[in-house]
Amino acid sequence: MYKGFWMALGMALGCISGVVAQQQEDKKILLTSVSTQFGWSIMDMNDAYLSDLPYRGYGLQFNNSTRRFLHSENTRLSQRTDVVINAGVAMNQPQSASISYCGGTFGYGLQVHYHPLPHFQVLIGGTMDADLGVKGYSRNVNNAGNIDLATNLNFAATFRYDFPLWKRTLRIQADFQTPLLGLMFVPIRGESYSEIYYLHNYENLIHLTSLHNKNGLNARYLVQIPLRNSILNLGLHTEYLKYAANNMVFKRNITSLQVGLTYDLVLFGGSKHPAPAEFISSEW
Amino acid sequence: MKKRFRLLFLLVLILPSCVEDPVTYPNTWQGNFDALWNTIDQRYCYLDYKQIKWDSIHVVYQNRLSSVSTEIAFFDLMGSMLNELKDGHVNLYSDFDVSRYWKWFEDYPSNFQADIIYSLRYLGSNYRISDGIRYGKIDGGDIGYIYYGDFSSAFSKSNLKNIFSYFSDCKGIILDVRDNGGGYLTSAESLASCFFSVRTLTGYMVHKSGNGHSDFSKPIALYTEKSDSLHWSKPVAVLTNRLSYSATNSFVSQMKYAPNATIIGDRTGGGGGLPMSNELPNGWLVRFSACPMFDASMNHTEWGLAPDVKVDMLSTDISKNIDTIIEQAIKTIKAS
Repeated sequence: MYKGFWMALGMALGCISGVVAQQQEDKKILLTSVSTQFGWSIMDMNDAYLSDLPYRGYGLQFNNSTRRFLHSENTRLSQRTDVVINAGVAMNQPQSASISYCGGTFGYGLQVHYHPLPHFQVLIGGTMDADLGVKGYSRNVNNAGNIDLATNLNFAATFRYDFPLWKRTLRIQADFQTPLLGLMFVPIRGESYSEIYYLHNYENLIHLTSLHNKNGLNARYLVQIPLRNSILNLGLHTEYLKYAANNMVFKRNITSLQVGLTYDLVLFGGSKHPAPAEFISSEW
Repeated sequence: MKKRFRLLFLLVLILPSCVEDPVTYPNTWQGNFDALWNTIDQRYCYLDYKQIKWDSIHVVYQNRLSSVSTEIAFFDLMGSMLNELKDGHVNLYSDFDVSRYWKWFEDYPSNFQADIIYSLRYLGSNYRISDGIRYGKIDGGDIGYIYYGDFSSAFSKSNLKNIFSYFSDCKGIILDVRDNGGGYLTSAESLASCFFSVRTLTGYMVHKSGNGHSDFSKPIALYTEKSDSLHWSKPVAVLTNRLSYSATNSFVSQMKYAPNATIIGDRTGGGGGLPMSNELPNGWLVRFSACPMFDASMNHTEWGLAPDVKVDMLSTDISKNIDTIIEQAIKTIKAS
């Protein structure tokens, strides 16, 4: 019963992440490591299209990321996918209006693994992501909401340090992503979405982004505590994003306290033992 | 390797400083005053068109700010400053009051009395109601009369289809939009489209593209589509007064280009700017005209639209329960 439950959960999470769990190449099997976290968040938002006032509130975050070496013969290059979904409600300081937010970031990237020091890994690479969010504004005068829509090429760096303890190895991990180049949708201030739709006025809606008009730092700090078949993650995820277009400045800062698990999907197939030598994990 | 890491670390520190932070104002009377003044300065669309010296107004009201001692007095001061814009689309909303500018209709004859249109001579008490539209036959059944008093009050094509069918044996219809203060622009366009046989250019709209008073985007053409399923090809008289405002103003602007339409009554109240809003640090909301609309000849519609036939209600007629403007509309339809 116990095994069955974990097997079902593993299969469900595998479907969410949308990755193939394992791939046999040259008799070696690449494992896909999945990290799933849930968090409670504090959100700070500025959306000049809706209001000049800053908004602050609380929300929930779901975070699912996967990692796997790209090829069994090359254990220096891994691919990663990241899904982050946020939902929450923020209010202005006088508590006279609220903004409801629901959004997600869906990313894919490659990173090269370096081992500059014992127990220390540095993963350097890039990711590309799509960022989609919807905001509903409670104080509507022809601007009832706004849509965040962007795609980014990010620089990504991950730092891992393993503390060998008596029986287990504790890991501290810091993961950073920052957008370098991309495209984003920002409506003209004063132009409602119905005008865009009915009048087909698409001028100045899509903007090329680079460091001059979009800054961000997506940082995830994790303490990873090995369990019997998985790893317990305790973490802090901070997303800092600021961008400007059409004479407006937007900000989205989300700080989330997280708890979750990292596991190699194959271990949920029924084995309680460490993976045999032919199984290659990008995590350990 | 170490150099690379140092460079990377430096880059991460430097990057967040490239985009400037949004301007914020403290939640003090001065901060709220500055936030309001700047919102209008950068985003109100008629400062140049109305030749408003907004800098001078800042000086005048800044001086008065020092004598304010209560929250209500502060609200009234801010409301008075906004009233310098002479715009019915400009309001300041607080928890205890809404500032407004109503001189666009208060200083003019009303040219409408609801009790007269519901008298036996016109709709009487047995008129029909189809969602927000009230209608009936007048003048011995020769003329169809529609009163539509709110463009926020929805109607469907089915409503209009039944109404037009009911009026099919009439010589024409009177579409009375007096005292209609506006509502949805889409409803205005939808109603107007019933009177067009071809897609017609009826106006333009621009948006603020920068913080300067004259920073506007290229004009976007506004077309009134012909209605696929509904078309009224007989004469139509549109009745207007000063309280025909905002979306109603837009409706009248479109009807000026309808082939069989005649605008009768008083000049419309205007309200040609699409309103938007912003918040002040204390949570008050300011509504203001953000996007000016024009007619097909690129004339502003903010100050209202002149009728084709100017008629005021006569006091001698009012005393006899006669609506002078409706009577003129009946004559115009019968003569056409």
